[in-house]
Amino acid sequence: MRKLFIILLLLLIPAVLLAQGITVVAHVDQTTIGTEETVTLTIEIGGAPANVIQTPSPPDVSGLSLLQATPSTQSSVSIVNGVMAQSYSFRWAYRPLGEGSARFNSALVTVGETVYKTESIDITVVPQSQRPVRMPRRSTRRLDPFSSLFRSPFDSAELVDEPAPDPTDLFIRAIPSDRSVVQNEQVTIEYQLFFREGVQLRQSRLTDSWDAEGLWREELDVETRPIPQIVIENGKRYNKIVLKRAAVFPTRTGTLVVDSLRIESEALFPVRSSNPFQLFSLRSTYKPVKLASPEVTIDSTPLPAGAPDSFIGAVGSYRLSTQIDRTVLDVGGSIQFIITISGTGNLATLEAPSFSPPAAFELYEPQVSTHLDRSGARLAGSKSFTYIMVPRANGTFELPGVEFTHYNPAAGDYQTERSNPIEILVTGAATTPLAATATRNGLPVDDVAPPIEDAGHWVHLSPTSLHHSSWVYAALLLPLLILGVTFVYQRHQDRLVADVGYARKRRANPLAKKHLKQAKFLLGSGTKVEFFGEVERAVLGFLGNRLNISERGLTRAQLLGQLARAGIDEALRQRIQTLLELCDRGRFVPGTIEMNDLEKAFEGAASIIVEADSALGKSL
Amino acid sequence: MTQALLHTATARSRRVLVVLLFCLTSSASSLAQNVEPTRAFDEGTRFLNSGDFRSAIASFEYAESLGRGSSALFHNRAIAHFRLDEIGHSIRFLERAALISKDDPRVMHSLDIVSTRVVDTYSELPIPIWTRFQRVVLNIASERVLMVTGIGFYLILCLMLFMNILGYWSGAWRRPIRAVSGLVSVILISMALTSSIWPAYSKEAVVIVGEADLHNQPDSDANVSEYIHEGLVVGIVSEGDTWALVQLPNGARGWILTQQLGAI
Repeated sequence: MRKLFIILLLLLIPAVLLAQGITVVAHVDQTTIGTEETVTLTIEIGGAPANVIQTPSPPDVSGLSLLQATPSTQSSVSIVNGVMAQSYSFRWAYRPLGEGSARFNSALVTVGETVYKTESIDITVVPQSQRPVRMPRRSTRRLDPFSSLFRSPFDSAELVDEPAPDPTDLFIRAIPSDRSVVQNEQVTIEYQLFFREGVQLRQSRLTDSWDAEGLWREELDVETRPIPQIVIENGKRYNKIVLKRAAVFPTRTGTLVVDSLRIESEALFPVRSSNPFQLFSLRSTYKPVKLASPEVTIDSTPLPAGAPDSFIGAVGSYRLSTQIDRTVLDVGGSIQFIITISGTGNLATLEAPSFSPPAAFELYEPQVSTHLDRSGARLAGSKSFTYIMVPRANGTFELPGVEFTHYNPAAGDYQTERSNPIEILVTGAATTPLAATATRNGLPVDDVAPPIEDAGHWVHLSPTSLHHSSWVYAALLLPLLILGVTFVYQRHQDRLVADVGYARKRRANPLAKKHLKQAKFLLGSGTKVEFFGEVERAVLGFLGNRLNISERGLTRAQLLGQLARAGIDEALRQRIQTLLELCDRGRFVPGTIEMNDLEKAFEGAASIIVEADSALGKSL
Repeated sequence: MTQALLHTATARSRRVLVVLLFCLTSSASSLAQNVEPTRAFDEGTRFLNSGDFRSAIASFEYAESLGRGSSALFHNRAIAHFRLDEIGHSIRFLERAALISKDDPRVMHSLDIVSTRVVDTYSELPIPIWTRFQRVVLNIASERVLMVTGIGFYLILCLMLFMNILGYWSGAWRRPIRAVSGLVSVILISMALTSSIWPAYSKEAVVIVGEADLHNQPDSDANVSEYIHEGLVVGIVSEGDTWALVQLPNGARGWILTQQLGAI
């Protein structure tokens, strides 16, 4: 029994204690592959404890396509020539894009504070027909892991004859903390090795990838020097030790399967002897064995609806705290503002809560530091986001409180925590941005343009709309009006030149007025001959112009005939004849004319012109 | 002195003098109107540079109350609001500055920076071809420039017709000039008038509160169809004393309290 303990302890002593220098190596499973095959790239890190190894990113490749971004991981402990070594492997599968050469470029691996660079690897992709036909691979997933334990290829033909050990003597059990969780909720899976008393193991190592598609995995610490617990299972006495403990977080919803945990070892089983005092037979030999835990199935359900805006996917139990290094500073100085989230959950993928300082502050990308506590039954720790802010203006500012919402599966609801706002006093004069942070136009890359010093061109703030502006209509209509008037005037002028009748007609009234005006003047002076001459010219001239006839060559009878034809009535013709006879008397026998006859003649002439104008206007 | 000048001048030179005096008086009056806004602008900019953002805003507000504005005035006021974390007002005045000076890289840069602080993102409805064309044209020349240029061509056309009526300027060159000036004047005047009646940039406003409810009806108890946030630019469909019907960039419409909006 003591010997068995020593063997197991040697198998499980952590690499931390045995590390002899860190090695980072990249290798592929084959350097020549067919077009239909896949190639597995493995980055193996030896000599470093798990908690200082950061999951590396897959390297850049050419001619290959990555099948799954999340690497499968494997940790192994091996004893070779009496030296114990622990290593961690990250594996990615790639498919070739075509025939020819393909290449894995160097990968960068961070272990602790050191970044290691792997060698690049070239592979050749040939037509699938040039590749040997592969035998179907035996499925590694079996419903009963114990049934395959002693049918491993490692068990060669010469061992077939050996009596098969009882699978209940040695097995691994996988115990998840929960089988039905919400997305991103933590599930702890513990792998326990059970072995009967008398069973001895040597050269044991974890083998194959422990894959869990759709789950984020974090290793938890297990006892480095485990003391087997004695347990009774199905009435049998077993020793039990914890092989591995891992926290997994579903990254999507649905039914997710965690692969079996597999170990390869050589086991020495006690021969069932009838002699109760002979526990181990001298003929007993170590036989290669493979052990596999059952697969673990986890149902991941979506998060409940109604998440607040500040929810960024955190599931677990968290506390929020903030810290600032100072609250009074000069313009251009810097402030360190730390947001810390601590608790249990998937801290590795936790994003920074929304944080927007006042615009006067130049904000730099946060430095993120994560501290994971893997020692407990659940993954816990803290994650800090350290912001550096530089105020570019002075004044009193308020840093807004940070709001962080997470879903707490235990409580079954969303819980929000808020930090208090912080008042900051910035003194000194405002600064201009550094040239290094300026655009091609000289404007700051991540800030508004500086104030414009020149007021520039002033505009009316409430200008009248064009369609409501009278000047627009005036500018449009006035030229049209002028054009119209000009057109009418010009036409009138042309007609005056071309149409004598029209011209005389247009002149009739002005000429008559002119003569009557002269007659009125003469009326006052008492010159009878000139007066009657003007009156006669006014009447005859008007009638001649309106009728477009030469009035001077006409006899009185001809004139009256023309007037009759033009539609002048008999009474008016009679008055015209009387007036003309009076004018003749006044011109040739002025002594017979009284002064009141002059006035009658003037008034008669004026009324005749008005009435004749009216009568001729109707008839013409 | 004016009377002495007028007295000594001949009739023709008197007329010239009157016109010159009118022009001088007009420009002097215009300059005098800009003095006080410029003084307030300079004062506000000094406050802004010294970090006294509230006083800067007060000065800029005073300059604006005088009925004058400039791209620089609105830009600087927007910066003051931005420094005070008033994103809605900042966007509002930057949009105003951009309306006056669309090509100023400082204004457009500041608008880009401040817009990154706006929470809401909506897809935008496509702009009708006519409006796009209208905006392209108006980016080259304003409505007034279009109208004045159009009237210039219109006067050329009228002059040609006038001379034609009077019988002057006979020659084969008159017809193409008349046709071109007529066509150009019709196009420019039509563009100016239609842009004045149906503006290329519809009336818009900015949400100036942290979060505003968009109701289905102009009633506080009506269903809330959307929550919109500070800095979002919305189109004003109709506006009353208390409620305004607004259109979001994606075409959705709803009622919002007018006090939660700042007109651009």
